[in-house]
Amino acid sequence: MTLLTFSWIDTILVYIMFAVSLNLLIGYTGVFAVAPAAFGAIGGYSAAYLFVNHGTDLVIGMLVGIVISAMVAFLMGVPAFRLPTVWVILLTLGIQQVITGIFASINQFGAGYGLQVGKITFFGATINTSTTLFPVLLIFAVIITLLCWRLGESPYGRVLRGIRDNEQAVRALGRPVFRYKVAVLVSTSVMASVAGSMMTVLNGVAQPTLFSFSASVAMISMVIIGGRGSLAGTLLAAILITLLTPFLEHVVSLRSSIASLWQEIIYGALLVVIIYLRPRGIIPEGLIPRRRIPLGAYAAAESVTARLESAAARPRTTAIPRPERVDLDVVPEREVVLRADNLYKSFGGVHAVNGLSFELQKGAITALVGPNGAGKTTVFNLLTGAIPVDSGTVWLDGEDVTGLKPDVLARRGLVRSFQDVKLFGDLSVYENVMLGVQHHPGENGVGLFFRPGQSRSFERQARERALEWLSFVGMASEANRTAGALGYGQQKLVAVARVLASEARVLLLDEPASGIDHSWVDVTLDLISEIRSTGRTICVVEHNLHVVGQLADHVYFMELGRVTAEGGLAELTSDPRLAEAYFGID
Amino acid sequence: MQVLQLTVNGIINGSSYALLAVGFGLILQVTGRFHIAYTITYALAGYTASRLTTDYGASFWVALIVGMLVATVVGVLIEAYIYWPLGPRAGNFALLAIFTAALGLLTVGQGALGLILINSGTAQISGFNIAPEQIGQVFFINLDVYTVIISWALIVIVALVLGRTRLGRMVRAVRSNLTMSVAVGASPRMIYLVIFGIGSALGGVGGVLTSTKAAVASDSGQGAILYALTIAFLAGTFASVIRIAFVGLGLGILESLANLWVSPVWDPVIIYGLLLVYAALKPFDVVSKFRRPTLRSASASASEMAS
Amino acid sequence: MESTDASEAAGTATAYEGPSGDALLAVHGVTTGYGSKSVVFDVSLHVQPGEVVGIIGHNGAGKTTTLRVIFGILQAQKGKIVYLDQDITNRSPRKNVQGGIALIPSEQFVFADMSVRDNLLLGALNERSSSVINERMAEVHELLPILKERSSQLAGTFSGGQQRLLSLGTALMSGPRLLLLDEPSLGIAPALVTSLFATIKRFALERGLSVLVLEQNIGQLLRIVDRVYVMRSGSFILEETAEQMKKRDQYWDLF
Repeated sequence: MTLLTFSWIDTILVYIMFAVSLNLLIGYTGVFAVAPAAFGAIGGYSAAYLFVNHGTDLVIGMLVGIVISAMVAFLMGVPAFRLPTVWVILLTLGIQQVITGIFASINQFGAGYGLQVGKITFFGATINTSTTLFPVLLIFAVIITLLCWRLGESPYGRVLRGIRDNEQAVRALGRPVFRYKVAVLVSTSVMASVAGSMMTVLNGVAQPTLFSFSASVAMISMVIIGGRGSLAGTLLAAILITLLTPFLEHVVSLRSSIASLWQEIIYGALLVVIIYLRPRGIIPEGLIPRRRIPLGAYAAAESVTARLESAAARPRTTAIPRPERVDLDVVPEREVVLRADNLYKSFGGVHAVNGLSFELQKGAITALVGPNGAGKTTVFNLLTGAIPVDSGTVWLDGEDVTGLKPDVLARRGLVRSFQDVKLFGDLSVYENVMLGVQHHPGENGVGLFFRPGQSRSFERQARERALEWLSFVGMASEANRTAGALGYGQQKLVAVARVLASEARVLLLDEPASGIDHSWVDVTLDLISEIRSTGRTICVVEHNLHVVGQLADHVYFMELGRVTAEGGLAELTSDPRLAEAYFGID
Repeated sequence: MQVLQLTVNGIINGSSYALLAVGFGLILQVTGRFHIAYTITYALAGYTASRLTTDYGASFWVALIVGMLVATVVGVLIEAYIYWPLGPRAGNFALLAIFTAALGLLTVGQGALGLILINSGTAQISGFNIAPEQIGQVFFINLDVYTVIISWALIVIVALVLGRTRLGRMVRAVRSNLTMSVAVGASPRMIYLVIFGIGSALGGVGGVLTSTKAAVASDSGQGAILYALTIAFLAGTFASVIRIAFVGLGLGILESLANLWVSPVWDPVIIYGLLLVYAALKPFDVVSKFRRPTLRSASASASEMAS
Repeated sequence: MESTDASEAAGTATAYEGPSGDALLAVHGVTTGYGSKSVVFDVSLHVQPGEVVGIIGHNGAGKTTTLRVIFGILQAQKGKIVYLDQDITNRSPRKNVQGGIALIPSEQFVFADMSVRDNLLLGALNERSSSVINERMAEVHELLPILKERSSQLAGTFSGGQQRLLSLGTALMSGPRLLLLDEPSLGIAPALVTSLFATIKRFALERGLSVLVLEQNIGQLLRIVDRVYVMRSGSFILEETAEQMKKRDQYWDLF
C-alpha cells in the first residue's frame, strides 16, 4: 500500500513529537503558546549549521538546539506569564516571526534555501536512508510521548490541569504556579527543538518553510482537534492530519502541491467545526477515564443528603441565635496564631485598608463584619499575600510573614477559601481534594522521575486523606464525579474538604454561606463548628449575620478599612453607634 | 539625502501600517477578539480587485470600492456566524476558542486562495498606471501618494465617526463599559458587527492598495497583519484611533531608517524585537512610572478594591 | 401562575397586606442564577405606580441578582415577570429600556472616558427625536445643575458622589417609568446620600416614577420608601411598610 510508505510514517513520528509536547502546554497547562515550529527551527538549524560548517554529529547539534531553546523559552516565559493571556499569544507570534525571520535572512543559514544535511551522522552512523532513520525517529517519538505521559498523567500533571482550570486556586493551595508554567514552557520547547532536529534530518534540509507559522498552526490543530489534555486524542489527530496529504495524493489523486493546500483547508475547517461542535476534541480528556478510586469503606460514610434533610427540618426564625460561647477573655494563656499589625493598603488614592490590626486565636472562629466597602475581602488578599501591603506587618506563629506569596504562606499553614468556590471543574472531586494535600514528592520533576516509589506511596496516602476529608464533609460517595458537574452547595463542601486536606492550621473562609439556600447554610455551619473542634484556627468574612452569630467566638467590626470595635456579636449589635455605621441609622 | 528618502519611504509604509493597525486595533479594543483571520479579508479584497480589473475590465477605483465591500461583508459574516455564537458556548475559554477559530479561518482562507492562484496563475491588479514621481532627490511612485492620502483620509473619517456621531458614541460606550452600555439599551452585538465592518473595510482598502504594488499571494498580508497587531498592542489597548495611527506611522519610519545600518531583510526582526522588549519590560511597569496616573488605572483599582 | 408568598414560605408571618392588582411591576416566583447554579429562589414582589420600594439584606443575599433578572440581563430559570400587564420574562435589556425601565448598577455606572454630555446622550439612546432629547436634557440640567456646568468634563474625573448624580441623570434621560437602583449610597458621603435620595423621592412624587432600590443603608432608605422587602440567602424573608419597619428597635436580626 503506497499510502503508508516509510516516509509518511516518519513524518507522522515527527509530528507526534511536536503535537504531544505541545499538548502538555496547551492541553494540560492551558497556556496558549503558538510557536512550536519556531522552537523546532532552533533545533533544526542548530543541527544543520553545525553539520554543514563543522561536520558535527547530530547528537551535538541536538544538544546545542536544546540549550538554546531552553534559554529562549525561559527568557520569553518570565515576562509573558506576568501578563494577561493574550500577551502569551502575542509574544509567541512575535518569537515565531523573529526566529524564522532570522533564519530566512542570514546567508550563513542558507536564507530562503536552507541548509542541506544529506549525510548527517547520528552517533557516527549515517541515517539518511529510510531504514536507518526510522528506528531513530521511533525511539525519539516514544521517549517524548512517554515523557509527556509521565508528566501529564501524574501528580505533576494534576497540578498542571489545576492551573488550567483555576490558577488562583492552585496558588492559594500552595503551588508555585509561575514556576510550573515556566518549567512546562521550557520542557515543551526543548522537546519541540528535538522534534525540529528530526524534521531537518527527515527532509534532508533545514528550511524556513518547514518551521513557518503555518507549520505551527498545523501542530496546534492536532492538539485542539485531538482534544486538549488528551494524549490519545493528540496521537490520533497527529496521525490523521499528517496522513491527509498522502491520502489526497494517492487516493484522490491530487498533485502534491494541491494536496497539501487541501490538507490545510481541511484541518483549518476542522479546527473551526471542532471548536464549535465538540470543543473538547475528538477524543475528549476523560473519555478514556483516568483511574477511578475504590471508595472502600468510605462508600458507606454518611452522605450530605442525610444532613441536608435534618437541616431542612429545623425551624427557621428571623432572630439571630445566640448560642453560649467560650469567653475568650477568660481562657487562660490564650494563644495568638496570626496577628495583623497596622496594615495599610490604598488603591489609586482610596484607603481600602487603613491601619488595621487584629488577632486570630488558636482554636477559635473569628469573624470580620462591617458595612459594604469596609475592606473585608481586601484584608484576606493582604493576609494571604495575593496583593502586597503598603505598610504594616503580618505575623504567623510569631514570625514575620509580610510580603510572602500565597503559595509560600499556604505551605506554611495559612490557606484561604474563595467566595466563588473556584473548584477545578474538569478534575474529579477526589483530585480536587488531593490538590489540597501538601508536599507531594511527585509534584516536582525530580521526585516524579527519580523517586517514583516514594511518589507512588505518597499518592496512596494522599488519596486516603482525600477520601477521609471528603467523608468528613459528606461527599465521599461523589469522589469519582467530575467536580464541575456538582451542584453549587456540593461544590462548596468539596472546596471545604480541599482546604482541610491542606492540614493548614489557619483557615480563612471567604463567605462560606453565600449563594446557597437555608438547608445548605445549616449543613455548612455545622461543618465549620466541627472543624473548630479539631483545633484549627478559623477566620470568616461573612455578610450574613445569622451565620456569624452561630459561628463566631470573637467578632471584629470593620469600618472604612480599620477595626473600630471587637467582642461577641451580641455585644457589638447592642452598640447603637455600630448600628449607625452599619445601617446609616441616626 | 538618504535619510530624507528613507523617511519618505517610512511615511509611505507607515501610512498603510497605520490603516491596518487602526482596523485591527478597533476590533481588538471594542470586541476583545484576537482576529488574526483579518489576513483573509485583506487578501480577499486584493484578489477581488485583481479579478475585476483583469477579467471584467473594471476601473481601478471601482475595484478598490468593491474589494473594500467584499472585505466588509466577509468580516461581518465572520463575526455574526462564527465568533459571536462561540462566545457564550466557550465561557471562560472564549478568548482562546475565538482565537482558535480565527486560526482555522486563516488556514482555510490561505489554503483556498493558494488553490485558486495555483489554477489561475498570479493575480495582478491592472488599470492603474504606476508612474514614478520625484521631488528634489526623493523618489517614489504615484500610487504611494494615493496610498498615503487614502489611508489618512480613512483614518480621519473613522476618528470623526467615533468622536462625533451617535454611532460613534455607542461604540465608545461599549468599549468603555460593556455592562453600562447594556444598561442604557445599547446592543453590543450590533456594535460588534459594525466594528467588524469598519475594521474589515479598512483592511480591504489596505489589501487592494498593497496588491496593486505587488501581486496577490496566498499569504498576502500575513506579515502586514502581524505588524498591525504589533502596532495595536504597542499603542495600548485603550489607545485612540489617532494614537494607533501615529504609532503605526512612527514604526514605519523607524523601520525604514533602520536600513541606514542594517539590510531590509532584518525589518521583521527589528519590529518584533521591539515588541518583545516592550513586553519584557511591561510587567515591571517601566512606562507608567513616567506618566501620571490615568483615568483607566484609577477606575481599575477602584473596582479591584470593591471586589 | 401565582406563587405562594415568599415570606410565608420562609416561615414568618406577613406583616403587610397591600394591593397586588394594577402593579406596574410584578415578579412571580422567580428563581435565577448563573449557569446551572441558582442564587435567588422563588422570589415574588410587586411595585405600584409611583411607589418607592426597597429591598434590604446582607451582601450576597441575591438583591443584585434579583434586579438583573428583572432587567433581562439574567435569564429566569423559573417564574414570571409582568410589567405594564405584559409578560416581560427574559425580555432583552434593550427592549426593557425602550419600555421605560432604567437600571443604575452599584458600581462603574458611568462611561468614565467619555464626557458628561456624552454620558447623558447615551442615556437617551433609544430616543430618536432631537427635540425630545433636548427637552429631557434641559430637565436633567435643571434638576442636577452640576451636569450642565461640567458638560464637557470627563465623567471619570468626577468624585464618587458626582458620578452617582450623573448616573441618575443618565437614567432619567431615557424617560423611565420604573427606576432600578442598586445600592446608590455605596461609597458616597452621608450628606450626599441624603440629597441624592431626596432628588429621587422628588422625582417619584412629581412624575409618578416608580423606584425599586436596593440598600444596606436602612436609615436613609426608610426616609424615602413606602415599602421594604428583606432578603436573606436568596429568598425574601419579610415584607413590611416603611412605617412598620421604622418601629423596630434594631435591625441586626434582618441581616
